[in-house]
Amino acid sequence: MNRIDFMQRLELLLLDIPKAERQEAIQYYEDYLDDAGVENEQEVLEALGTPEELAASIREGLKEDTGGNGEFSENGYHSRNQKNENEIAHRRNPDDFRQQHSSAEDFNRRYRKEKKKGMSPGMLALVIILGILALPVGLPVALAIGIVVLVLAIVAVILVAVFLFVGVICVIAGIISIWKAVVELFLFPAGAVLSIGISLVVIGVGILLCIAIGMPLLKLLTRAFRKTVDTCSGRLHKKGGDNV
Amino acid sequence: MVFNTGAALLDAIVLAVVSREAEGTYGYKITQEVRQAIDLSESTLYPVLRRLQKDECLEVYDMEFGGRNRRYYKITPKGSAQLRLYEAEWSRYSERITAIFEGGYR
Repeated sequence: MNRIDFMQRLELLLLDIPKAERQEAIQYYEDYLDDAGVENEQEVLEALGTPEELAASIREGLKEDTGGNGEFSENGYHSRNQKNENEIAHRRNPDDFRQQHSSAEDFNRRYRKEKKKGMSPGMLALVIILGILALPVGLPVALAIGIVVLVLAIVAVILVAVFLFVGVICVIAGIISIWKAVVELFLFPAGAVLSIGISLVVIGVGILLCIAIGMPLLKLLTRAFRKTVDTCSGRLHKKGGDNV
Repeated sequence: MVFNTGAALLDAIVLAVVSREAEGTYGYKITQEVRQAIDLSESTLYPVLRRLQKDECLEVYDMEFGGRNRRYYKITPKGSAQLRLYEAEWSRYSERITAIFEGGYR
């Protein structure tokens, strides 16, 4: 990344901080690169890290004077919550660092960081290439699976709706026929009693259908709703935690 | 560097470096000079300078240099007072530790 790209990216990343702060920071680093000289430019840019890292350090600095609980030291910004009393990250000379300090935690942290940095571009490229190669086969298969799932889901929804509808209709029809039978009770007692009995059976079947279909549906919906709420609040919570 | 440099010590070093130049000095030079004493990443100094500026320990002004405006940092009376405090604290602190290392402190 050259200087112009770097600074443009930095400015873009700092769009959410006050304009005066952004201009200060941009001017400082423009000055810094000017004073370092063209011959050292690339080296300094690399030492500054990525624009993202630099933007984060500027942002953390702003947080500090609004009562953030962290501090700056030679290794950059540290949150006081972190256990960093004995941490000596030696960025420019990692071998030196390892010889001097074999604190397992520090070592692991460094190792993980390096591993992550070293692996990701290669892995990413590999995944992309594999994805492209698999596209001619993968796309139709994925499409077919998607269609089948969609059709099954539609059929299931229709079935559930029909059963529910039938249940409700049974209950309504039963009630109506009971009403009719009660009216006819004095004209044709035997037929009316038979008809009331059948109606009661129909109402019972209708109620059973409604309960059998409706209850699991209700349970499913509440569970889905709760899960969505949990996920959302969980994400919010996590986001808040990262900011500390 | 084996020992971690805390925020106060870093402030003290930066104030001392800036105070050496009566007319003020600029970011790149400050970074290079602080680096003579401690191992400092290139991105660490800006937030520190900004904070010291907000705390009125440093003041800034722009001066034309080589066809562009360069930002200079200069120590304020408040910054000088703060630096004297740090220096006194540091000499007490380092004396005590040296005394313990050399076994003379009871």
